[in-house]
Amino acid sequence: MNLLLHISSIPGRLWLWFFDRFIMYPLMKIVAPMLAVRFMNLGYWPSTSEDDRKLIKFMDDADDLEEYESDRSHIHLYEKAMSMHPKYPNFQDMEVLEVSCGQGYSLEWIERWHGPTKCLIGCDKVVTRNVNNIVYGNATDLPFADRSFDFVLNVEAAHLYSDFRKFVKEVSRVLRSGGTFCYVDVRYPHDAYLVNEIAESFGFILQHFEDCTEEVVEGLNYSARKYDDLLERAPFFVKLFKKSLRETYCAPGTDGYERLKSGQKMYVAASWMKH
Amino acid sequence: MKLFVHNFMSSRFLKNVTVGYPLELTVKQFEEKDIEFDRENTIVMLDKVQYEALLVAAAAVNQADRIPSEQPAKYDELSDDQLKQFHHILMNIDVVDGELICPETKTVFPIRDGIPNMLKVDAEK
Repeated sequence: MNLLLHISSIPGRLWLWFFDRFIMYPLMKIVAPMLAVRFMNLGYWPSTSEDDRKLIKFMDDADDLEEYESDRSHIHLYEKAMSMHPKYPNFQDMEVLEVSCGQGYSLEWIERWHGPTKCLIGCDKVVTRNVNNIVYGNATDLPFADRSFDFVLNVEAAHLYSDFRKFVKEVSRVLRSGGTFCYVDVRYPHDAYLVNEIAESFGFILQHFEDCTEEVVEGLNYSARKYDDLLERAPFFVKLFKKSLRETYCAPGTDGYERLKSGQKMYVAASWMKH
Repeated sequence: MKLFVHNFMSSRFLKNVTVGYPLELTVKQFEEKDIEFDRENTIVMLDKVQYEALLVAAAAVNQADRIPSEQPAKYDELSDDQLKQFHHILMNIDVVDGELICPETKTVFPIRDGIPNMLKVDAEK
């Protein structure tokens, strides 16, 4: 029975794989500005745990967040990733690279609230708008010189890369010794812990590793309300992909949401220092 | 693309490329902005700049004469006027249209609308 269920789910999974890689990003290039979609991650809602204390304090202390209110859970995810950095929340005078920066709003957020950095560069395969210092580049072929950065940030993108090991090798190459790599992403539980094995094989020393699936599910509940509402107001050609888009942002009721909620998938937050 | 970004970029990811740095740069169009000068920030920024690459970038916009041909021993001993020249090249110049070229394979990476395309799949077409 399980085998039959597995086989019957294959076409749907193949479609979502195809949709994620070949339709969603070109579609978002057209749609994102129309719908004011700025961040493309599942979101995060901090818990009261010790791990999230710094993040909560930072968000409480930040003022003038009105324009970011609808993106709060997405920003929380960025803050979660960055809060694993030992210098958080102050990244002044650092040379920072975000691999897979999406539309680059995160770069503006980081520079405004954690800068001024010495340099902040974003790299993505798909660039949807011209923002300062974004480069078209592949995460597995980073177009940067060896030992160029103090801090590499990667938020919910690596599950789409063709070769995770090569990506980590590239991060290790472009980071200076003593530099920090902060990573958050969704994984299958059976391979979540391999992430650290791979990182260690490229000279990284683990600083933090956390299963934050529950906080991400809470974040999803928040962000899905916003996206469901936007979808209702979207043009017809976007609504054609409504089901797949809801699956992409893991709205409640979708398989993706249930997989996270039931523990079939987990959300990992980890950081390493380069030896 | 701000000119200082060139200082970080490399084509090392290409097959048979060992260093890929600094990338050659040709600029067809650039804009000059007026970003506020900050002495301390400029010194901090210059501290880790690869001077050889900075000279390549400055020459590409015909402004190499703004900065010394040899790397200054100590940036914090430079005058404000001298540092403003570095600040101008690093921060005020946005390359809108041009090309980055691998120094070893001569693979061309276009810069269009201010965004360099460093995707291997596009460069190898």
